[in-house]
Amino acid sequence: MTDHESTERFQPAAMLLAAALPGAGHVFLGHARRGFCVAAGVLGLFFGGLFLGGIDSVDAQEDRIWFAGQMLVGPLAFGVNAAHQNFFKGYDPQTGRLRSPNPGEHIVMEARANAGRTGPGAAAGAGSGDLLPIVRPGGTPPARKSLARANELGTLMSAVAGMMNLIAVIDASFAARRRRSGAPA
Amino acid sequence: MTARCGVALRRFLRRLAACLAGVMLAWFVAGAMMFAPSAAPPARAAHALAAAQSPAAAGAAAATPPALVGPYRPFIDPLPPEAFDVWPIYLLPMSLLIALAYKGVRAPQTDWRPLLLGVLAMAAQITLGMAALAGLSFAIVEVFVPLIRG
Repeated sequence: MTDHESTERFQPAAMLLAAALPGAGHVFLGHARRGFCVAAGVLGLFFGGLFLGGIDSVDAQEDRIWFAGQMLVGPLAFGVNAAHQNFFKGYDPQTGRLRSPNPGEHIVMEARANAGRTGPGAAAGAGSGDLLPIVRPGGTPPARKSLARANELGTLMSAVAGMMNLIAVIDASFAARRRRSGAPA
Repeated sequence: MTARCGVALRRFLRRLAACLAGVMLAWFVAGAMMFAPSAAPPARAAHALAAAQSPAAAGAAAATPPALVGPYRPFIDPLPPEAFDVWPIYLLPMSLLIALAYKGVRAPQTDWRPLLLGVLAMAAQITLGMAALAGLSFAIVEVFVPLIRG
C-alpha cells in the first residue's frame, strides 16, 4: 500500500461546514475528536483575543489587513465585526467618518440630516427619517478603545485563530491526504 | 533495531518536552507572581477612601466628575492596562491553543494521551522558539548593533 489512502477526494460539504463553524467539517467526516480539538483551539484563540483586546481587536474598518486573517474563522468573525461597527461606533460630526467614541463621549441615534450639526440643539431633529449613530460629548462610550499591548495581543490571537482554521478547512476538504494507511483516524 | 531506537528517542523527546512545558508553566506562574501589581491600594483609591471618611464626604461626592468610561465588561472592553504588566504569560495559552488546533488536524492518531503529549511538545517548541527569537533580537539590538557602531 502507498503512504496515502486511496479514498482521498475532495469533500465540498466538509469544507463548507469547516468554514462555517471551526471543527464542524471534521465532525461531519466522523472525526469527532479532531473536530473537538480544532474547535477548542480555534475558538479558544478567537475568544482569547477578544478577552485580551476587547471587541476592538476585530475591526474590518481600521485593521483591514488583520481582519483578512480573522475572517477565516468564519461567520463568527463577520458577526463580531458587524456588531462592533453597528453598536460600538458612531459617526464623527466633524469628519463624517465612523469611529469609536473616546472616553467622555457617547453615541446617540440622530436623524441623518442632523449628523453634521454640533452643539446642544443638534438632537432636536432626532426621530425624523433614518437614524444614524452620532458621537457626541458627555457620557461614557459603549466600549473602551483597545490600545497598545492589549490591541496587539488581541488582534494577533484572533488572526492566528483564522489561520489555524484555514488549515483545518483544507484538511477537512482533503481529509485522507496526510493519514498513513493503517493509522487510526 | 533502528526502529526501536527511533521509538525510544521519540518517547524521550516527548517526555523532555512535557517536562519543559511544566518548567515553563512554573516559570510563567512565578513571573506572574513576581511582577503582579502590588496588592496595596493605589494612591488614588486611598485618597478616595480618606475623602469618603471625612465630614465633607457628601459635598465631595456631589463634586465628583462623572466617569469617562463605563465599568469593565469582558470580551467587549480590553483587559485593564495593569493586566499587561505580565504580558509574556499570555503567550503560553496562545501557543497551547495553536498546538491544540494544529495537532487536532495533523496528529496521526487521536487517543487522548499521545495527542495531549504532542500538544504539550508543540507548545513547548513554539514557546521556546519565541523565546529564542526574542533573545536573538535582543542580542542584535543590544550587542551587535552597538559593536558595529563602535
